[in-house]
Amino acid sequence: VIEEREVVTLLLGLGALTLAFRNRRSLSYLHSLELLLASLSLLTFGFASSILEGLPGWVVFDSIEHACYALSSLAIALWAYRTATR
Amino acid sequence: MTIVFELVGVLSTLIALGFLFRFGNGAPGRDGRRAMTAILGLSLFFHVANGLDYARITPILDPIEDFLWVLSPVLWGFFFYVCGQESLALRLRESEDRIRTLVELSSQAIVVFRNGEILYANPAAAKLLGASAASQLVGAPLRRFLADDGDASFLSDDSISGSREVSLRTPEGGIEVEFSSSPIQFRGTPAVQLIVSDITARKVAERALKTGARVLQSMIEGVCLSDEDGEILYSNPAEEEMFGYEAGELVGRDVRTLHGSDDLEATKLFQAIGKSVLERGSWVGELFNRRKDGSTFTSYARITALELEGRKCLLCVAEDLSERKRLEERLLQAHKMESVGRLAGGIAHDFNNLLTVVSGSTELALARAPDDESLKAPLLRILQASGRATELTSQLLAFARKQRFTPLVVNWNDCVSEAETMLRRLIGEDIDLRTRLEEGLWNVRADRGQLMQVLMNLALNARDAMPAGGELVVETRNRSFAIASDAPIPPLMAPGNYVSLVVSDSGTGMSEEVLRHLFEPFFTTKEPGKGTGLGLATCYGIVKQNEGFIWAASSPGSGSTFTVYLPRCEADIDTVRPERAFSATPRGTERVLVVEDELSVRAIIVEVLDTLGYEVLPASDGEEALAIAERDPEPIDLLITDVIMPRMGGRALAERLTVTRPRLRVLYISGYPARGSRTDEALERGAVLLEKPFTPLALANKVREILELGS
Repeated sequence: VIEEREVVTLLLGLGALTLAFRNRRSLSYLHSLELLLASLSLLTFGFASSILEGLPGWVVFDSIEHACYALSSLAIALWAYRTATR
Repeated sequence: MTIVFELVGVLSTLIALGFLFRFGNGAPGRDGRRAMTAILGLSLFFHVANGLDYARITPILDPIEDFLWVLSPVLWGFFFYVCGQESLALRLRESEDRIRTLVELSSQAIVVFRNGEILYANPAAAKLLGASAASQLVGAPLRRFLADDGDASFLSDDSISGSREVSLRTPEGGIEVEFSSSPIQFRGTPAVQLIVSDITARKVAERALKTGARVLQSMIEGVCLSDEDGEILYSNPAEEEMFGYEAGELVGRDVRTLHGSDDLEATKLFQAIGKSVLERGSWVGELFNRRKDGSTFTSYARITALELEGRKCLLCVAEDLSERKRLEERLLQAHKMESVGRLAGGIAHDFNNLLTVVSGSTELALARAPDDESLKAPLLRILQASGRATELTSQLLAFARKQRFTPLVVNWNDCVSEAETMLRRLIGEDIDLRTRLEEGLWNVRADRGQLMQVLMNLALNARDAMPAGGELVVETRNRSFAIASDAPIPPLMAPGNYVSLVVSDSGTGMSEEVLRHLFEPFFTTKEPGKGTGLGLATCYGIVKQNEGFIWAASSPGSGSTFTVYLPRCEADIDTVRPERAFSATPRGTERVLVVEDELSVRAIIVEVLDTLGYEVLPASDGEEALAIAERDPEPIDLLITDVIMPRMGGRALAERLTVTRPRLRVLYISGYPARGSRTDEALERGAVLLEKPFTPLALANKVREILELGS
């Protein structure tokens, strides 16, 4: 079952991703920006997986979804580390 | 498995939160960090909620989770938006800092003003305007620094743009600057930004350049710059005028076309000069030049090497020597004439003594043998020859400017009118004489007889130049020259008022060579025996003696023009007292003291006077004369004395004798009869002089005249 809020979240995630990529030149002053973009990308992919897991036979996406969230947090942690220790 | 992911997520999020508070450069700003904190907080919540969810511990969080689920991408979007804004602000700040640094460190003075009041000035402006710090200038009126109040009009215009040059007053003195103004917004209100450039040095250089250019333009010497190939790069107006070219016409020409008699010679000359300049740095000498019209002239040139924009050039400063050479020639001629004149004068003096003896003795011999025809004929021939010799001597004296002359105020028109009839007879019927006499012709101070002699000589010369007839024009004119350069012969002739006599003929004319020697004595182009060569020399001497100028212009086949200039005399015409004439040789019985150092002359005077009945007391010099006068108690009626004698001159003798004999009359005789000569210096005013040579009759007449005036 595809939930409405999951679709809205995915759309908002894609919107945030688009905003980030389009403004990446002005955001380039941020250290290790690529990790931030990767984190948001993984999060968005997690949002997508959350929708896909609702389809019959697509249970594997539940694990993928949570892996994405974990990797996303890991990417932020790495970004924070790099930024703090540069 | 999911629980592991969530645990990783929780740990990661906690680590990230931990580092978030230790961010340095390259990190998000305050708002960005807040947004990131919210993201991390939300992430922590989800990881915990998910973990609990899977452990089936907190189903109660589901409704909040659903709401916060949607918030997560919104927070990410907000984070990137905030970071974007921060980046913009950061870049703006960096840009401002950069510009501020640029302005502060700029060597160009920058001032911002509104309504004439300085709002901002950079350190360079402070330095330029003599302030110790830029802040001191803020609030000061810009007008205070303007040297000329007339420049202040633009200060009230806040929308002015463009550039202007003004003079500023600074503690160090005046400077010249260029204001480049443009309207700007300063702290939100309109103002004017001035970029102030110190152009004092540039202006000085410009003025020096202008002065240099003007100096070059106004130089009398020609200046020519050519490159090593001979192409002329620059020439000043004097150079162009010297070579007869229009302005700018010389540039681009080959310098070799200006020099040498032909191209080959010019090329050789150019190479020789180039070599000399390379070896010694300069070349100085006379150049033979060709004008545009083909005529030639000589110039004195100084050529130096010059390097311009990497090109080796030759700079030539040249002076036209034509005029100088003409003047040198004229001066040389004048000196030559002066020397010849002195020589002629000296010879003539000695001749006069000899001729006095010859003619006097001959006349005495004739008087004593009136009936002896065998003696009379040769004596008459001697007399005739001595008369001719006297005439020649007189001409020589005229040329030497030592002819006795009586300057009176006369008018040349009167002389010409008086001589016209005689001139017509003299030149013959086949020559048409025309006179053009200016009305109201000014007077001159000159010897009338000499003026007539000049006129006659010039007319005779013209007649001889027109053997087949022609036209002779005698013209008189008033001429004034305000400045020396207006005069026909500027270096010799001073500015002033002159009376000119121009005698021109339509005869055969003369060559340059003849013109050069025209006024020299004994120079003649006539056949032997037809002219003495003293006619024009006499004219020259007479004119010079009367402080005038004479020159001739002529060319073969186009006639000749003789021009005489005499200075104007403001006085009225003098009336001439006619000399007393005796019908026959006058005789007398008075006592006459004759003093003459030349024995033969003394003897002839004594003999003549003795023959005429006078009682003569001869003396060889002044001392002997004084001794005679002292010894002799009888009165002496007349003293005849030579002017120039050894030990005591005639004048000194006369002065001493007249002290004891106040009624004594004096007659001077001299072989130096000229005005301004030794004779003149030796005589008192009003003294009576008889020039040598004189005839017995002239002596007799003069003696009688003086004695009768005395009685």
